[in-house]
Amino acid sequence: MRLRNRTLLTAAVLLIATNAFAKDAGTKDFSYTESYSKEYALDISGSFWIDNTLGNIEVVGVDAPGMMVTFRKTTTGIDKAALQEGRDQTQVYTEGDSRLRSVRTVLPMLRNPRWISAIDYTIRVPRTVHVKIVSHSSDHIHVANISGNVTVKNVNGTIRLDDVSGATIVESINGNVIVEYAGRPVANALLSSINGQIQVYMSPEASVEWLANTIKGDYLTNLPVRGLFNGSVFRGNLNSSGGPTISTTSLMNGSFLLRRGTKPADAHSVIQIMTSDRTAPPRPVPLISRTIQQPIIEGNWTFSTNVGNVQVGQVRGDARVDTGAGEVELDTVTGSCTVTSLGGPLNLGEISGWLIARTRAGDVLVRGARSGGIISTGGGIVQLFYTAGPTNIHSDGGDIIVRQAAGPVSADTHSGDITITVDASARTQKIEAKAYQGNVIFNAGPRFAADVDATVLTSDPDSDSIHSDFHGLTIRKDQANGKTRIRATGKINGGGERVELYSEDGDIHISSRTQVPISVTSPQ
Amino acid sequence: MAECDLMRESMPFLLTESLDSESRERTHRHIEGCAECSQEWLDLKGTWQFLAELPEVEVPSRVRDRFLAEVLPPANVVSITSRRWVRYVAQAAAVVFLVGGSYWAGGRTAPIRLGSSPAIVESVRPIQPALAPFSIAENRVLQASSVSPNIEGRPNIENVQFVNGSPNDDQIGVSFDITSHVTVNGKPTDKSMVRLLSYVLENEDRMSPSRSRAIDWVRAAYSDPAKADPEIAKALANVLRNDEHQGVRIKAVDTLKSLPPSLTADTRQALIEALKSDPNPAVRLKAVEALARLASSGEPLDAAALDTLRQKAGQDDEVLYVRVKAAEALSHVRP
Repeated sequence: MRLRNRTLLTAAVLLIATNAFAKDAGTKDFSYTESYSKEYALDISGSFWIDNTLGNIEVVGVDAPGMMVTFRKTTTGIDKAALQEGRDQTQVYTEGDSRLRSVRTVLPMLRNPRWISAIDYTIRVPRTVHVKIVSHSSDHIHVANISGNVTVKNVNGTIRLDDVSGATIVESINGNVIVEYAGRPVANALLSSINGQIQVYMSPEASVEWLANTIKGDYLTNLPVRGLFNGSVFRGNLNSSGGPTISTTSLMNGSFLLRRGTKPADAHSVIQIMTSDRTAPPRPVPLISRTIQQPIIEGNWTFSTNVGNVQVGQVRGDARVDTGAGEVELDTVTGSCTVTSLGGPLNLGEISGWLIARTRAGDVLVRGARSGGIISTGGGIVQLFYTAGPTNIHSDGGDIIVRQAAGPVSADTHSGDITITVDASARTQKIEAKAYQGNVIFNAGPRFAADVDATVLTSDPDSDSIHSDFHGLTIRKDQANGKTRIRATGKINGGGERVELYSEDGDIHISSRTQVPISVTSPQ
Repeated sequence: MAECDLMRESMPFLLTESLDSESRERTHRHIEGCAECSQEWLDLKGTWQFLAELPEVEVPSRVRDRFLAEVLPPANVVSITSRRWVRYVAQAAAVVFLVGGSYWAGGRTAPIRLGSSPAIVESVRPIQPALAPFSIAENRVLQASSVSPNIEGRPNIENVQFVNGSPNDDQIGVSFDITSHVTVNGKPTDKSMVRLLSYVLENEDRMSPSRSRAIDWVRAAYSDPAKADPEIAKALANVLRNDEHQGVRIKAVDTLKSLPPSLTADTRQALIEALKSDPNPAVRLKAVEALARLASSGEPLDAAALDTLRQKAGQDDEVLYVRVKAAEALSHVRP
């Protein structure tokens, strides 16, 4: 039976006060520092967990049983009352028994901003125990000389592991992760940081498999690593295969595999090594993360990046941009324009030639597509101010708005409204708009002529969902597949090009309002 | 022409329905056949209706007395004939009037003394109650006395029922659904305006032609920090959570993104939920941008938010842009 030994240490009489009660004259803050130390029983095959919100943690393994906890609590308040409240509300609990011992810093759910407290821990444990550390913010977390498994999770602060030979899992959000192996690694390590850097130091004689992943960073080494890329993931080997796997994932920063005693500055990018190695067969390498910002580009232009933003004023020629993730902004393209993004908004200005704009997610704004084109998004709002050529627009979910269509338009969205306004001077124009869950609003001048076929499919049997300002449409209502189908067909103003409008569970509005034309700057 | 004059003289009586049937018929026939009289009739009718709409104003008593004195015949009028004795009587009366008037005028300068007398309440009139604020309600019961007798325009009245709750009293009731177009003007910060717009945002299937437009309008009105309101943010959060229309959800989250970052916890939670599970990548993308904005403004993110962002940043099958933005949001997290 597990023995639960809860001690409210802050209230305990056992405080060894190093009464550093002081008043900082410059900031007018009051601070109080108190220390405590106690020994607990902990088996050599046991586990130790610590959860500390704010403050450094030092865990050192020794060849002896038992656990020694020492902490230093520093509380700062804007006045004496706040200081006292902070001291009272910052508590340390120890729980568990000799098989599992845990230490927790307990703070109120909603902390009074008038005070702040941090606790620095130094813990001595048997080197064979398993260690688990959870922290929010600190300057550093250091674990040394542990042969058991180690798990560390934090938000801010450097995590450093020295001579940890057991299986290791480190997850940080913004902290750097530094792991140094004293001998050859014998257990797997899973090291990740979203915004921090990862550095792993080991002997050049070690045999490991290095699995590295990033979306914006790089992989660097000064060890004889050989491997290849699978997409953005690098899989390489140091010396012979069959060793443990060291997995490093630094999404926005770099991963380093380094010889002990060297510095990160000594390392080279794996990508550079692979591309410069002419004896090796050609291997695919990932796209490089980069951002471009340029006012004018003369001639045809091609740019591709894995992660990065593109901001170009004018391309005097054809433009082709591929990005894995980023915002693309092209103000003017005098030739054709092809923009493909795996995610991110596209903001395009005057495109004189044929336009292809595709993004997997994000809004697309095009001010002018003078020759028409294809615009699509996997989810987002498409806004096209002006088009003079045949234009095909698609959204997997989001509204589509065409403000001035001087050419045929075909638009469809899985969920969203479609608004198409035909150029005021157009007497007739082929238009197709399909909203599978949304409304269709079609605006044309009062003299606009067309053969109209508008259909609404709705679950509401009493719906009266087609509204038209034009005369000459015949509206019928029937049942189809358990839904009510309302269909308006006929010629308006004597008939012309076909206007096909379709809406599911929405309305169709055919309006004859006069539009104010949008002024469009001529391409230079 | 003479007939026209005659008919025009009859028009006021036609308006007040004071003509006999034969004259009425004749006047109507003339009006229908004479363009000038027809126009005259229309003008007269318009003026008459306009007069009916004018509020009644109490005529000042002085004006009324003067008017009545001029139009009413004097009571007990005695014709004065030119007789000598009458002249003497008149002269004597003038003397009495002058002497008496002088005495009375002199007495006006002396101090007036009022004897004490008990106050008598002659009549009691209820004070006109202040108008109750107009409430936009699903059901409303009104007293006939509080309803203006003028029905403005042609409101659509349906589902009419006659209610006679108690046959013993002389009260009757009529209940109905009325469709009337209401325009509410006010500042964006007026609580009633905030409540009304929140209701509009949260109640789907009532918007025409599009709720997306309503959200656009709300964004234009409330993205100014001085006008931002937590109730609007909460309504948008509900739209983000519950609306099946992806285009509407995109607009909702986009608008939340544009609002000042001091959102309510509920709103923040809606962003987290959207980031975690909305099937539309644009919604997730805008949700993570909103959270990044929140984090960079110094607003604390709770553990659940951190976990969701961390998970999103590392999720291989998520849109890369969402992952990058999640990482950016996390880079702003402070102790």
